[in-house]
Amino acid sequence: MQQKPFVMHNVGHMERNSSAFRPSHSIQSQDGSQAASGSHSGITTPPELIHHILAYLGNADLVNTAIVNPTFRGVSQRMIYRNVEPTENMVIPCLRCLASYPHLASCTRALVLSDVTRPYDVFSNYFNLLRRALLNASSLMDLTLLLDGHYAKYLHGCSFRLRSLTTTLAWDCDFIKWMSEQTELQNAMFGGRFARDTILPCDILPKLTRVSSSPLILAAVVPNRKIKEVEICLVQHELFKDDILNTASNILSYSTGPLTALQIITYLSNTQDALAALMTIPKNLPTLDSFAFCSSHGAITQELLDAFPDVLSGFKCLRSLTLMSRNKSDALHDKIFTANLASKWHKLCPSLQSVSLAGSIWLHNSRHGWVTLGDLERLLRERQGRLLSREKYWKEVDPKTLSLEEVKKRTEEDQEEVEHGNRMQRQMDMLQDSLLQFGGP
Amino acid sequence: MVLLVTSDNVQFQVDKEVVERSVLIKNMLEDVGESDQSIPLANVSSSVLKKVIEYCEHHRGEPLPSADADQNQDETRKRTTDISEWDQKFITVDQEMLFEIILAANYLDIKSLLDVGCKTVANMIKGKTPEEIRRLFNIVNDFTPEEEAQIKKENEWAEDR
Repeated sequence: MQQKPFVMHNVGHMERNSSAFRPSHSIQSQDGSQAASGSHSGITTPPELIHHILAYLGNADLVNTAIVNPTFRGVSQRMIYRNVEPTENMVIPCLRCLASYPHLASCTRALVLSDVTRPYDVFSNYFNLLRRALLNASSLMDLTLLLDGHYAKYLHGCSFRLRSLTTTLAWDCDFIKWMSEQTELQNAMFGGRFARDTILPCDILPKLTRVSSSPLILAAVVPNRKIKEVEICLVQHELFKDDILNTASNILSYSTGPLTALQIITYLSNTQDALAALMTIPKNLPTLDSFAFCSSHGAITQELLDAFPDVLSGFKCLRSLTLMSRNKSDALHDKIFTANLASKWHKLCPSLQSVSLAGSIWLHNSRHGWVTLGDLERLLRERQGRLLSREKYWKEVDPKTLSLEEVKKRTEEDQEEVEHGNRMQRQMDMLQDSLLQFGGP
Repeated sequence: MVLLVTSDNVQFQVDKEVVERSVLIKNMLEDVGESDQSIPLANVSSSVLKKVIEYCEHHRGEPLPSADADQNQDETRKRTTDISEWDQKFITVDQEMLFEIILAANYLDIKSLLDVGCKTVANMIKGKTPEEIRRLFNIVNDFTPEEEAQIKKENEWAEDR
């Protein structure tokens, strides 16, 4: 489909005056007659270069580039329709376009739709329009559908196979039927209400590895599936109690993943209740690799942090710990108080490699102990500088004057340096991995 | 040292490390092996090659992007059009030279230079009307008013930001 760069470049040079890629001012200097001839329509403009340029633009400019000429139109519209996220008042026009233009809808890989049933409840045909639009979106891979209620039946039979899904659709029989069609789904956020007695047969969602949901839906999804990462959403404060967490984490232990990462998002009210609830996690899931705890409401108190080693000591191989809270004035946000927590906790949980407290990150480094992320980046940069200057030394030194011992010593030093650098790089990579994202791509 | 010969028959002696920032030339040298033969670049003029070499000299020693990273990035929308200070100064050339550099970077396969050039053109497009963009690329409008209206209709939802 695309021409080879060589050929295009050739055309650009040999037929310079007919090249649409030629800037205008030089043409105008040739008395403007060329520009008026109309012979430089986009035929010789290398489409992949147009793609490369337009890839830097947002929709506000792409709607203009789409009108330039047919080549620009093709490239621009493929980009506009690739990631579709209409504003709330454009949801209906957008769905109309997806429903009316199958060739554009088939470009869509990611679609984000907010709930418009409330402002548009007079628009009785909404669900049929949604269905027609989604039936055309044959290449869709990431879907965010914030639509509360029992509407999954409108999605039955869609030809796309999602990789990730975020939805608030009710977890009912119709939803299960839709899920039975989504055989490629890997990453899901099920935010809908669990309809009583809904059963998820074990052969459905075979590829799911990452899931975020309420305890009830997690209990239906996680056991006997290869789920590696889970986020538990406890939106009501009365749910964050030891009995509920004990049951939930016990159920999670039946994942055949095995489960390596757990994140809890909860409403925090009572520190003692919270500690008792947290203690059940290592009891049921002692081999977690990564644990994150986020308070959506309420403070992470000094009392909770002081007692946190009791929770940590129950984990056998925890490498990454993350604590977050929305309360900016709690103990977790006290920089002086948290400065030494990582090294303190490391004594009770020696496997720890990274600790993130309210967005500040510490990493364990075999040479330097616990350092902040900023320090580690500086160390990596310094190391690169050292390696470069050594490389330069090797290049410039006269081989005749170099003793064998010196070569040996320097080689060993280099190897150590490289190994050390690789370890630091691995830590950074691990850190990236530990920043979980549920639902999204 | 590697000897390059441009389309207008000018010879350039360039450090191997510098010239190998072009994946095309790097691959050519690997295929041919050690050789004193010159490399003819029939698609690049001397004035453009001079600029390209200036760029490669400045960025020598920096890591080259891996082929995989390139693949992943290609299809997705790029986020930033930020250009570093030196690159910004380097690419401040007349439009004809800018497009020539982009074509040469594409042909020689110098990803970072191609990015700098394309970002610069993208910045020139930003905020312009379709007619202004056509002038920039020297394109004559061959859409009928009806076709234009149709395209606007198809993208209508994307305009609300």
